[in-house]
Amino acid sequence: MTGRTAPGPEPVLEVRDLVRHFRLRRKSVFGKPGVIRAVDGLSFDLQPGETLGLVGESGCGKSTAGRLALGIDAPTSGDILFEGRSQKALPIREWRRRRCDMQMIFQDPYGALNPRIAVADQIREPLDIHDIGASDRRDSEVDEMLDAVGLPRPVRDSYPHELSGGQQQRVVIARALMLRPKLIVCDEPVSALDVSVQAQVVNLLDSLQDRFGLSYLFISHDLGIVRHICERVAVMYLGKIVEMADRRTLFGQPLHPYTQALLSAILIPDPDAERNRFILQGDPPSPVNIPSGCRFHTRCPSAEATCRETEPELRPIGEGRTVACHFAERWAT
Amino acid sequence: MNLRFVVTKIFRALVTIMIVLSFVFIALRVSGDPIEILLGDEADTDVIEYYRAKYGLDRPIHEQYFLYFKGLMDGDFGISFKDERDAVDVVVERIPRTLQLGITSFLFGLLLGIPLGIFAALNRNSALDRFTMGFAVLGYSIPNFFLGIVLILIFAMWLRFLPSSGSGTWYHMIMPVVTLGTAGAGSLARFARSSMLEVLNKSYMRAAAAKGVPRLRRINWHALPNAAIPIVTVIGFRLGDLVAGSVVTETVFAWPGVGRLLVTSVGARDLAIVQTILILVALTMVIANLLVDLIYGWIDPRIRVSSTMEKD
Repeated sequence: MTGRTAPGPEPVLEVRDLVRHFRLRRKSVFGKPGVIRAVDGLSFDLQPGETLGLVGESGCGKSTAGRLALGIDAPTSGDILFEGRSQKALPIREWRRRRCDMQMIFQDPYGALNPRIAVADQIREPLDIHDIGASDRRDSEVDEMLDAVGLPRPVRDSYPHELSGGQQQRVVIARALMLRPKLIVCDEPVSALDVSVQAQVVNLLDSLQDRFGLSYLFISHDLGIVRHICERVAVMYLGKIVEMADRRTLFGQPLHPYTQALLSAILIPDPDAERNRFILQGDPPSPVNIPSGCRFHTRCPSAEATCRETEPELRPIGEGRTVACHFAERWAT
Repeated sequence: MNLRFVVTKIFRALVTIMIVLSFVFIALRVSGDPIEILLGDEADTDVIEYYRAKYGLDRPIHEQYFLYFKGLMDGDFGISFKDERDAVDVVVERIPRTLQLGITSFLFGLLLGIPLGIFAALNRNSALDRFTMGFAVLGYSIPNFFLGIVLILIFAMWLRFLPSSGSGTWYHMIMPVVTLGTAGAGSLARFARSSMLEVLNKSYMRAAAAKGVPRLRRINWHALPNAAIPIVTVIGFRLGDLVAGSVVTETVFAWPGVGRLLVTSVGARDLAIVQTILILVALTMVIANLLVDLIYGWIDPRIRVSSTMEKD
C-alpha cells in the first residue's frame, strides 16, 4: 500500500522547502531581534494510504511542521500542496472545504474535547455544520462511528471528563473521522496515555487507516511506536530532515549519526540483548543559534572539518532513502 | 445540588455571621458610649443613667451580648436609639434604594465589562486590546470616592448637567451608577479576557476550526460557555458586594440607601442598626455565593456530575 515509488498516485500532501521562523522579542532597543528557526527548509511527500513518521527530539520543529501542514499556522516561506493544489492563493471558501479533508489528533485528548459538550454532540457537530446527510440519520452515523472506534454506545451522552484517557482519545479520533478526511495529522497521539492503552490506540489507528483510506502524518518521539505504525520515517533535527527512509531500511541500518544515536536509545525489553549504546552528549543547540555547516556537528562523534563549514545536502543513498551527511557512504558499508 | 451541600453552606454562613457580629458587638461598645453621643455633653447624669438602664447598657458586656443573641433567636434585632423604631424596619426601608443603585450599576458593569474583555481577547496584543485593558485597569484602580468626587466636580459643578446628590429622578442615578459600575466593569473585563484567552488556546478550539466550524459559532458555542465558568465567580463576588460596596458611593452622592445609613449609624453609635446592617451584608454575600454554586452546577457538567455522585 505504500505508493512511494515515483509514478504512483498523486501525493496527498507535498511539503516544499517549508520554513517557519518565529521572531523573538528584542532584548534591548539596540539588539537585533532573535529568530527561532523552528522549521528551516522541510520537504517531504505523503502518499495516499501512507503513514509517514516524523521523529526527533523535543524542540526540533516536528509539531510546528504538523501545524503548518494543516494550515493552522502560516509558513514564513515554502509551499504546501494538498492533492496537488497549493495552499497559497486558494479562495477562503475553497480552503475551508479543504480543511475538512485534513483533521488532527492531539497529544492531550482531554484538552482536545470541549468539556461542556456531550460526546455525541461533539462528534456530530461537523455534520450539522456542513449539513451532511439527513439530520435524522446523523445520530445513527455517530453511533456507527462510536462502534468503529471501539466505544460503547452509552458513552454518547457522557461528558469528556467521565471517560478514561484512552476513551477520550477514541472520541477525538471519532470526531476527526466524521468528515471522512484524507489526511490526519497525529501529533504525539499516544504519548499522554498509559502504555497499555497506547498499544490499543495505535492498533485502532492502524485498522482505521485501511477502512477509511487515511494518510497519517505521525509526529512522535517514541521510536518503538513509529516503527510499529509508520511505513516511512523522517528524522528531524533542528528544523530539517536529516534522514528519511522506509521503515525497514531506516531501522535496519541507520546512516545518519543522529539517527544512529536515536535508534540506540530505544529500550529493548530483553536484559541479555547486546547493547551498542551510542549516547549523545548534551542538549540540541538552540534553534535561535543554529550551528554553521552541518547542524549536527556540535554533537556528532564523527564530525570533521568539512562538517563545520559546509552544510550537507539531503541526497539519495541507495534504494528509497535520503540522508544529509557528508559521510553517508562511509556508514553504509 | 444536594440538600447536605446546601445545609452545610448555610451552617457555615451562620457561623461566619456569628463571628463578625460578635466582633462588631464588642468593638462598638468598647469604642464609645452611645448614650453620651446621643444626648450630647450637656446632658444630666441622671438622664444618661436612665437611658443606659433603659437600653440595657448598664449591664456587664457579656450579659448584653447574651441578651442580644437571645433576642435575635426571637427575631428581635433591637431598636434604634435615635427614634426607638425597630432596627429591622429602619434598615429594610432603605433596601430598595440600595438595590436600585446596586443592581443598575452591577448590570452596567456586566454589560460593559464582559463584552470589552471578550473583545480584547479576540484582538489579543493589538492596540485595541492594550487600550481596552489599560482602561480596565484604570477603572478598577481608581478608588470609588475619588471617581465620585471627580464626576461631581465635572458634571455637577462645572458642566452643571447632573445633580450632585440625592435620589429624586433617574438623573440622580447616573453618576453613582458610573462610579460603582466602572470598578466592576474593569475587573470583569480583565477576567473575561484572561479566561477567554485560556479557552481560545485549547486544542478543542483548534479541532473546531479544523472541522470547519465558522468563527462566530466557535466563539459563541465552544469558547464562551467554557470561559463563563471563571467569570461567574467574579460576578458572584460583585453581587455579594452589592450592599457593602455601596457604602462609600452612597455617602459621596448622599444616596439614601443602606450604605449611607451604616455610615451615619456608626457615627451615632446606633448599635442595633449597625448590627442589623452587618447581618444584611453577610446575608447578601452568602446568598450570592449560593447562587454562584447553583449556577456552577448548571454551566459546568464536571461539577454537576460530582454532586450527583455524592448522593449515592
